[in-house]
Amino acid sequence: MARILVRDIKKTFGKFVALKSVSMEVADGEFTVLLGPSGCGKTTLLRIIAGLETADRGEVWIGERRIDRLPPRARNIAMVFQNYAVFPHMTVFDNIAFGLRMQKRGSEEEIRRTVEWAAELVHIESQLEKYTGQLSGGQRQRVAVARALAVRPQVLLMDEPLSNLDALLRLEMRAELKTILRECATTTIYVTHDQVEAMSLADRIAIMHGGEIEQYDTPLEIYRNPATLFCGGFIGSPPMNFLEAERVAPGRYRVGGLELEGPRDAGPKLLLGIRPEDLEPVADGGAALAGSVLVVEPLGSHLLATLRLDGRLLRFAGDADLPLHPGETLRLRPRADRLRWFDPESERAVRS
Amino acid sequence: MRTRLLYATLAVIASIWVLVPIYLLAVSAFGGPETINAWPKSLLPERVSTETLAFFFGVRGVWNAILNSILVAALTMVMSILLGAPAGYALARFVFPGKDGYRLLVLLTRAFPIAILALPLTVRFIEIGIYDTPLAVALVHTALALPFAILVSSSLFMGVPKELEEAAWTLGCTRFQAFRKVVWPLARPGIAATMIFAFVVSWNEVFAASVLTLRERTLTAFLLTSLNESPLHFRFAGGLFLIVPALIFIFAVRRYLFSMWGIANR
Ligand SMILES: Nc1ncnc2c1ncn2[C@@H]1O[C@H](COP(=O)(O)OP(=O)(O)OP(=O)(O)O)[C@@H](O)[C@H]1O
Ligand SMILES: [Mg+2]
Repeated sequence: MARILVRDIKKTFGKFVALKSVSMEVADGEFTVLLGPSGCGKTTLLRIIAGLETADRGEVWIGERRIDRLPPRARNIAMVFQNYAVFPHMTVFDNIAFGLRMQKRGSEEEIRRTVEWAAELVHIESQLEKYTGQLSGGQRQRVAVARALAVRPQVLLMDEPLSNLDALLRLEMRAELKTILRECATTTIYVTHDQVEAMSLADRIAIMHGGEIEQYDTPLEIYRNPATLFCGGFIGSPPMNFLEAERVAPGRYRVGGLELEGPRDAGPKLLLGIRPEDLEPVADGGAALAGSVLVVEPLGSHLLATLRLDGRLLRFAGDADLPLHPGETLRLRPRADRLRWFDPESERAVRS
Repeated sequence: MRTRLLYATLAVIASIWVLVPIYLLAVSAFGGPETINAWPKSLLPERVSTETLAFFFGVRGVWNAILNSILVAALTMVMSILLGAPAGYALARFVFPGKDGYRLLVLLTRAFPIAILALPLTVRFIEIGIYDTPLAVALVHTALALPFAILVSSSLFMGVPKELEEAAWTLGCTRFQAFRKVVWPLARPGIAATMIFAFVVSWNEVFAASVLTLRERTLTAFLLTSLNESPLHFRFAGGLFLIVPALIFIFAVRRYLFSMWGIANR
């Protein structure tokens, strides 16, 4: 059990800058998810922490030990790979025991007990004698997790471990992983580009974009207060709406046909960020954002509508029973406590 | 159905093409001296005798030549895998400047005919005192088998996912341990096939072996030099003895050869 400290990591592949300057600290026992679009450098960062890739500069610490010059075997980490990487020429038992044997962790008897403990944790204790080639994807996945947990690493690194599973199994494994990892309380970094997975698993999420961490916070905080336009647009389904706002007086901005209270010391042009569910229909009368309904998606639990407003699209999530039809005009007002403002130049949030 | 018939026909023709000479060779070798000059040839030997073979093995120098051949082939096999497997591993796993050029150069070694290399090699081997030894022949045979060993083992290692090795590293292996515990077991069948191939290359090679030896002949070189002055049935026995090991080896490793070529075996 130990914290992870990553300080000012830079990595280039030839001329391509994969990581610009990444710093983060994962607390002891914390579950951190690296989330970002494909190619943003998640795997690269994970591999640098594991020692499978060397950074151009920067430091990696685990606990009180600086590890960025150590070989992978000396780092006290374990990794679960995207394609499982279980050894096909070994039985499930030998796979899980592999790390223990290589690191000479006790007698064969003790190793057997640890293997059984790990196998039970992931529910594959009945498969121990099988070769991994005879297993299904989900079972291989479990073997990979058990193999990583068996060595009781200080730090567990997982690279999209669920991405090769079908949707249902993924849901199931996600819930299981959460319980298992809570039980083990191992400091974990988990890579994914699935935001739902990230939201449901993470203590904290680091949003990566273009080789940088844009925001590192709890899921709810990122959802409520995205630090950048990218974070707001990446998290949430459908994502946050962004509307152009123009200053009419200090601290007051006009958005569509509405005048709203905004930040006092900000530029003349801002973007208003508002979540689809933070828009409320208003009865005729009063000022509102009026848009024509293009598409209505009744999802059962709620309803999604896409509106056209001044040539831009606006997404609205509301009560499933709302009688909405394409072609109608819908008048909406954002909840005053959920207004988020962004500077269109720097793309960063402006706190009001 | 039509295509299957066509395939079957072609397969039968190809098999006959290969098998008939071998069969005739065997008939002549086992049929006793008199069958050889008999005409018309009978497809079944009238009697089976080991006379010819006994005569063959009785000739002075044959046993020594066979032992030399085995020794040279074994040395070739070991050396080409000891040199070829690491080179193949490097080609499969590392990015280094001039990698493609290296790959090409490896193949280019086959572009120089042995006939051109033979004289300078002879001189050099005499200088360093290994002329007329199995080692000298094995060195040249290794050079012949090496390109194949390098390229095939590189593709074998490429077939072992890198993540498996990396997983082994994170679980406590050194590079070498990971190779031994994970990469090697998975590549072993193919490596075995490569070794056998090197063995057969060496076993069949005649030119370098003839030039580089005087007394310590390999079987091919021995047969070549004694072919003119020996009776016909001796040549048949020698021929049979030359192809049989190759056939046995290829039969033994056919599974790996098939899997190397991506053909499912049954
Ligand atoms: N060995 C390499 N050589 C050259 N470029 C590389 C190498 N590894 C990664 N890259 C590049 O670095 C960038 C980041 O790659 P990385 O694998 O970290 O992305 P990722 O965030 O994990 O994406 P994904 O979600 O698709 O797995 C990519 O643009 C990739 O092309
Ligand atoms: Mg990745």
